[in-house]
Amino acid sequence: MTEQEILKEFRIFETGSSFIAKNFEILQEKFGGKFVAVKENNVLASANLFQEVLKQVNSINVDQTEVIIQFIPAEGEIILY
Amino acid sequence: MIFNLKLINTQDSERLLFDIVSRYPRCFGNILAIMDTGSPRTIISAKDVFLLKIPTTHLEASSCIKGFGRGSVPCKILKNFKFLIKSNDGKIKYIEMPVSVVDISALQKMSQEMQENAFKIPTVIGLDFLRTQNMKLAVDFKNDSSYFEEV
Repeated sequence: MTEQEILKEFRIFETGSSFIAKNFEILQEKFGGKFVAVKENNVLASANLFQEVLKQVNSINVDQTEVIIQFIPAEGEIILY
Repeated sequence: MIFNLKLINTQDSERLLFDIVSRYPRCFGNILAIMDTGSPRTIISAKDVFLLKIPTTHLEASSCIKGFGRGSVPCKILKNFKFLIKSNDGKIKYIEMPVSVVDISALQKMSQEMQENAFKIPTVIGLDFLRTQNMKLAVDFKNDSSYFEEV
């Protein structure tokens, strides 16, 4: 993979992660307590369980390595890692 | 070089997100990690081990991860995890460092509840990243800015 291809991959990924960071409050209102699958500026799928959201991503023929799957904590829930 | 983090500035959900791209052989893909200054170690989550198909059976066991009241998650050591990060001026930095990875096979023998909880935990960048990569971390909530800087 060339550096240009890597940068292109990074840009797609960064668009998705920026979308999550900038819209976290909205995502929490809509999807709090669920897993979401995000690609660029779109939520492609959501579900209570990781395996369920993965199944949804696979059913729409999207490469799972291009998608960010993230758990969105519910509003008022503070999660410590 | 400076490497920007993304700041989630929502009250009670403050987080520092960091984009890394795995270049571990046959396990290429993206990881949206969280910078966790409370963790001494970088830990690749169950979700990311599963998605990137990181093989864990041949790895050495490591200490389990323990959280408050949530039992423990079995882990192994991946001594040479390879990944990329991107600086804010568009340069790619190649990194190889030891990380802990959640032992998916051991996790699958645990209760359904434990498995579900483990998949909710994201990959965390621990203090070992700052130490081994000679980075410092700056966080400025007022100006909505956070970054790693090579020392």
